[in-house]
Amino acid sequence: MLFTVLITFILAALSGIGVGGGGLFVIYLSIFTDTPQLTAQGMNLLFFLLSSGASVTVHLRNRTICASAVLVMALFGIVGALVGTSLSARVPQHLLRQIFGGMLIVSGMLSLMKKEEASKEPNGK
Amino acid sequence: MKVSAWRRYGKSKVALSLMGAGLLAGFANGLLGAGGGIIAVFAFAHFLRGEEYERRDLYANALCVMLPISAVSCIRYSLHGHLVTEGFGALVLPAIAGGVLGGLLLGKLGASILKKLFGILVVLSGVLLIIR
Repeated sequence: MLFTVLITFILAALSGIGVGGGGLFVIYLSIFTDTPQLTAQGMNLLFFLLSSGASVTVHLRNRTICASAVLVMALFGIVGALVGTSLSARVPQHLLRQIFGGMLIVSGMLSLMKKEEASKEPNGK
Repeated sequence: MKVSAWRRYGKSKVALSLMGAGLLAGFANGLLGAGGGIIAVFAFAHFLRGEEYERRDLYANALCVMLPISAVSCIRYSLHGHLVTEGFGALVLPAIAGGVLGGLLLGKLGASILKKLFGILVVLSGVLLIIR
């Protein structure tokens, strides 16, 4: 249990910095525990709400937020989420796990490519 | 929206793209319980990139988008009976404390090497999940 608490703290901190994103908790649950895929995804959402809810309170103070763009994307995102969650309950779990794996490969590669581009920026932002 | 993108691409095109990206990010988040954030980051990188938005701002904006979306997905998972909260109580505090720490570090850390390592780790985990 202490291990899980420690892992949760580290993953939440990484997720707040923007390393690895929200999928880390699913990876942990899927690889190190016997949690079924859909349950791991549900717990990841809860984990994300807590850790990112906490880090957003810091970001709102320190970062420039474009409220109108956030509002438009969030509203349409909620519609997308309603469709996605309906589908997730119908897709077999082993298939869901494979789709999740595919998403990880794509997003991992995208972030690797993005970092190469970032390192070319002179001020290193 | 104080964005040069309005002028660069035209209002309707920007609005439509943000709606499309939102739909896609929400769909990924609902279907997979994760993964919408990267779509939001890429959309913002395209449309908000300008003098007043640095890379860290884009990430913060994406988090603000994903929070309400994840709340809706989480409620739906719970209604479908896929939210197991047993044993989660002990993780609430470390998740919040870690989140605050990460939020503070985002302002101070370049973290590019760390991100590269995790990019590789995420790809490997994806392969592992598929072949398992």
